[in-house]
Amino acid sequence: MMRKEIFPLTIKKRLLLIITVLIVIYCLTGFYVQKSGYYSPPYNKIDISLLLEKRAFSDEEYAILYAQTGIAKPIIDEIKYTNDFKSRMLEYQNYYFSNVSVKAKPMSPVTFYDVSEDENNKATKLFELAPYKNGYIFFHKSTHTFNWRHGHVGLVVDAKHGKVLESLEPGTTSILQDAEKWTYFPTFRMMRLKNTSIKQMDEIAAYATEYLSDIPYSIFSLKNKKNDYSTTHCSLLIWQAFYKFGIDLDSNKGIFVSPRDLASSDYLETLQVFGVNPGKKW
Amino acid sequence: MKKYSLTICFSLIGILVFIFNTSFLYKENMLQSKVLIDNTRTNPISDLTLIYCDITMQNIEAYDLKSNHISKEKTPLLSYTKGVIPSYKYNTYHNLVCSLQRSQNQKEPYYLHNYYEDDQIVVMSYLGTLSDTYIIDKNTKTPHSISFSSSIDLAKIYVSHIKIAKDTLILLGMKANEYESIVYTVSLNDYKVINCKSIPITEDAVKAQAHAITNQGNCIFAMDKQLMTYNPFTDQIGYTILPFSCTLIVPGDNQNIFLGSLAENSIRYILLDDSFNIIKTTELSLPAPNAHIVSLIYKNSSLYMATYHPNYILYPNYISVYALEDSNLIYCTAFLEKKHKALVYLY
Repeated sequence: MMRKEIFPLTIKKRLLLIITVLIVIYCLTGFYVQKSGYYSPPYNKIDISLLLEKRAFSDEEYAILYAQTGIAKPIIDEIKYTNDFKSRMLEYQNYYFSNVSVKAKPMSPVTFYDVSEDENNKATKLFELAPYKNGYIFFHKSTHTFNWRHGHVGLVVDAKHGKVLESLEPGTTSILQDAEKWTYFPTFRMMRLKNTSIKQMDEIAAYATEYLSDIPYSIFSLKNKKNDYSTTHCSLLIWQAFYKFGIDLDSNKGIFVSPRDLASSDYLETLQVFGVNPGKKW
Repeated sequence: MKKYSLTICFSLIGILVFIFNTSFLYKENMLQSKVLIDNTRTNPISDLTLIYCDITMQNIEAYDLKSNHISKEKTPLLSYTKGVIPSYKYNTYHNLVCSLQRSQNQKEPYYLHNYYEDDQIVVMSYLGTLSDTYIIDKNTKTPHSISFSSSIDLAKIYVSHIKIAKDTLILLGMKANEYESIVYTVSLNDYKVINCKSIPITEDAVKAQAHAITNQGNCIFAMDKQLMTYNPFTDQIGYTILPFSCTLIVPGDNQNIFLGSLAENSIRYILLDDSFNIIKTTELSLPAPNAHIVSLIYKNSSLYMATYHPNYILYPNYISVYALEDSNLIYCTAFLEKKHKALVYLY
């Protein structure tokens, strides 16, 4: 009698309660995932055309341009002497403040990717890529599995032809994809190694192309198999490419590396953002 | 109460799955068109095929434009870098290539970049070097690797064009990480490389529509205000000065070549003959402003152009047919929006 009073629920009812709680948690995380699919600047777009007439900027002006366009100082310095600098920066700004509505599409029964669709449910291009080189790393946060927004990451290996090496999903092998594809995702971050020569980044890209292509995908691939390229996944592929050259991009040094772990690395600097909080690394 | 709680629970699960997976339930709309201009006696687009696909390039639909109606092609299709191929063909040819590799204890190729087929042969070009391009004899169903001497340039390439001219296979590839093309000329008798030529080109010429192979086998590149030509049979490079920069090259099924430059409401174009002499320079009006060129085909002295207009008001896509002899738009049909998919190729 006492045991029945202390534990009033039968096993069936407990199971039902657990399932219900899990569903509620899943729904709540699902709503959060939906809401976190795109970061819209919470401030107004301002007129930067006069500022863009200058060719030398103070730190504060670089910060303004970054907040208004998503383009960071290294890229600004790279393009500020080109003839079309002003028009390009204004174009970046237009994209940065455009209206984006995010819709989740299924990749599999449990994994979804976000796109922005027009009124006819067609995926639309959302921004222009800033100039990029071999060895640059592309991130987005627009994929989620079981309501975990894990995102995706790729490595630029042929900038002249716009090719990014990626480990995509279960059932595939690592492969070259077109860089322009990334402009259809509502979130994006371009990063690169700080203080690294173009030559070394070319070497990293060449190594990745040679040794990290056509490797089967497995989400269970762990970092501890440092020289084992029998399987990989998107962030492990990037980690493997740089680790070969003595650079450990895993910010928390765990046995599993995620896109977030890479983006949080102190070795990397941000060059361009779209749809993500520019003040955060992830 | 016990009975109903489980029912309610599973109903809730069903509703939630529905909410988060509504994309499974959208209804595809059939392709609809409207003929806007028809100054011809016969329907000039009756043997064309439109390819639509979604952003993943996995959900592909093909529509054959018959004389009076549009019919959806039932054959499943698979995408590769430069186009689409019927799945059954891909499986057949890919398996032949893989069997060849296995017999030689070589690694199997993994990603089809380009493909060519005629009555006699199939060429399967995978990402990699020349070693990753294979020729299949359709009569004997025998796959062959291309053999070459150790002296040839074996860089990683993206084979952008494949042509048979004078019973010779010509592969025009772009070198990875370079603004440089490589032209391989391969004998179809013994599948050996006859000639290999590396040609530096400009950044603009690397773009897909800015280089091509003519029916005579000449490789041509639009480089600012000139056209660079390479004849793989004579190993000669030539230049033709153009009156304006062109970014579009379309060799015709006759001897002529169409070079175009897209503007907001028109295409300025140059017609060249087979000796690369300028026949004509004029312009064509577009069916609507702000066009993106999807595909161009030059055949029977007519230019077939598929366009996409991102800022459209009425129609996002048009197929326009121009008689190039007098630069007239002789036929134009508009296509209504296709839900979830975009027009990507015209064959």
